[in-house]
Amino acid sequence: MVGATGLGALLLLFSGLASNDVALSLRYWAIEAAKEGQQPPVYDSGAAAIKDSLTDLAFDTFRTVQERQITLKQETPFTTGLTPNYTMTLQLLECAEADRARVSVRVKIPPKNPEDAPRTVIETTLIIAQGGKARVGGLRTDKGELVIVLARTP
Amino acid sequence: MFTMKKKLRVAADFDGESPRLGDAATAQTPEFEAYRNTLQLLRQGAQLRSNVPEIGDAQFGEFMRGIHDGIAAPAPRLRGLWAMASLAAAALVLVVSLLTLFSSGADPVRATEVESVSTELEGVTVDFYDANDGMSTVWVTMPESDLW
Repeated sequence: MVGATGLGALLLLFSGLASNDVALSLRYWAIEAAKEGQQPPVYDSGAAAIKDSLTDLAFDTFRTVQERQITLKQETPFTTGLTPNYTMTLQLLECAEADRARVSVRVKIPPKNPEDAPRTVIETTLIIAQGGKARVGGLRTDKGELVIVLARTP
Repeated sequence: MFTMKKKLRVAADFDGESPRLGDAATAQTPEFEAYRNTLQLLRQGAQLRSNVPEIGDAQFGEFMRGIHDGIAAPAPRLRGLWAMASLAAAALVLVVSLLTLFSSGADPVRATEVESVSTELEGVTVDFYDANDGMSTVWVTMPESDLW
């Protein structure tokens, strides 16, 4: 009897631990999109992998600035500098459901005054389904605009 | 007047302590009758009380032995009840555990979507849309100057 109760308690404990120890596999691309008069549009090798996610944009040149496969864990934000001006922070907010994950994407630029804090250009919360993609674009650069594509990977 | 003295005399006569009942005038009064009835009730009550069984010296040893036996006897055991309660609790914990472990997998897959957007910068606008192909887009429109 005690064995059955203990087994149940252990299962409950493990299920609780499992839900707290959620990790999310994510691949992201930071692509600089520009208008350079290319016909047909040009994609470098990194951008070519996500060509379907870029074809509807009004640009003709796509160059990969950064591409990385990461694993996001709850309570552990991932921060990376995309360009000298843009810093991106990704944070897994919730992944309680097996097929959907709430991810916070925050892009900041440096302050005008060095004493001030960095400024948030965009902060968005995305719910990314299994195998789903999301993109954040329109971040102005010297040559065009930065487009960040996020893809949830198995 | 039915005085205390008369009452004592009537009571003594009732108990047979005094042969005389007093004068005839007193014996005819309603007070005399009421008092006599009260005495009769008291006598009956006392008689009933005296019929309560008592434990005599000869029975006292047996009486105490009964008490000792009652104290020494083990309390009624509820093993069956506790076993059933334990089994029910174990089954409940197991069911809750299994539900917790396996319930999340049955939900249908839903598309990617944008839950919220915000910006700190003045002059910057943010649009977002969820496409049918499962990709969500957040698009920032930034002014050409006064950013850096």
